[in-house]
Amino acid sequence: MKEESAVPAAANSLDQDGLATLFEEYAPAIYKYLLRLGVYAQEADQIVGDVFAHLLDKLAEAKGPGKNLRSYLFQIAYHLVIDHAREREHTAPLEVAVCVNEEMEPVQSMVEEKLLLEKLYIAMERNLTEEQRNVIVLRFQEDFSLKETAGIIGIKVNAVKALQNRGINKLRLAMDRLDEGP
Amino acid sequence: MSTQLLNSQDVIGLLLKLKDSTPDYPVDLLVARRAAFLQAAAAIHLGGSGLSGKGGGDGGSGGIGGSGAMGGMSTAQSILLQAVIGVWVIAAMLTAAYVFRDQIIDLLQDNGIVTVEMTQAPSSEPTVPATIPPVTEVSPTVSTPIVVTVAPGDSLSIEATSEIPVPTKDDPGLHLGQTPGSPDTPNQDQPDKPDKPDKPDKPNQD
Repeated sequence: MKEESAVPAAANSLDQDGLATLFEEYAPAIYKYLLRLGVYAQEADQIVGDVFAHLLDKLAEAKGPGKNLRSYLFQIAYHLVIDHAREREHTAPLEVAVCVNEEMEPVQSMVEEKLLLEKLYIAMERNLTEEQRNVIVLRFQEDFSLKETAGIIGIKVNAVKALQNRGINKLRLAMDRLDEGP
Repeated sequence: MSTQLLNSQDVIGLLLKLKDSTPDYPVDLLVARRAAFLQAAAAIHLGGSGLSGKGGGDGGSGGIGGSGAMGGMSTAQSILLQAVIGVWVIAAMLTAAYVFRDQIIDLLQDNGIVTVEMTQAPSSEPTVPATIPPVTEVSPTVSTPIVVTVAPGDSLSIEATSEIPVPTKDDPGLHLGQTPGSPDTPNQDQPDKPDKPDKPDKPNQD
């Protein structure tokens, strides 16, 4: 797990260099997080802009995050995704969300793994609830702790544990079913 | 790897691999978004918001303006400032109205606004009360004939003769506005009966 990131003093004073560094560190991570939640690339880019615009507003009002800037930014992104999802149904196509690096693996294993990852992505998309998917992504793909995940989603740690366990079981069963075919 | 043998740890392992397979932020989008973010930050900074961030920073002028409604002021501060400004403006208007009250009155009078004073001017002449004599009904009277005779000795005598006929029961004479009712229409002078109110329409039972 990554350590809690304090808010740089440069960010509080709206220093250009500090803000640029902050953006370069967190914008790609938030973008990937959004793709993992099934948001289209173009929308993910817009949400990234909204997240940092929100951060600027809060910094200008001296109401920025006191600590753990990373959790704070992901929390904003999470709520923006919820808002977008309410506006319309949208799911990124598989080729956008899953992109296996072909140079890393031999061809045979690469194809097998790509199929597995595609099944996993489909299972996450079809079988998990919104909260379960968020918990799974935050815990296993964004490396947040149980406590941080609970803070981002706004639920208790025990609820995060329950959602995580249920989500993993659902994924396992769903992938078995996908392997059996229709 | 077969999914038939998957357990929870396998799923978690796949989730970690899925993490690495997510595509990166396209460079062109990232650069454009970064430029827009820094531009917005510069606009807020140049707005003189007077950031009082936890890191101290370079302060600022604390002035009003910038990209936000009230720069770096909190909502409570901005409301308080607006209230103070409002009270100050009202006090200034009232003071000006008191100091220039004479000019304001003249200005209003020049613009055709007439003021009516209810004071009564003293007068040396006695005022005649404007009394209206009560209206009395004059009944026809029989005039006495007057005979005027002017004698050479400056004596004057007046003799009046009446040629007006005395109304009788059969011949009441022409009295405008007092035309007696004919026996054929005995109730002519009675007041009209009030109109009957319209009956409400019966509700349609269809």
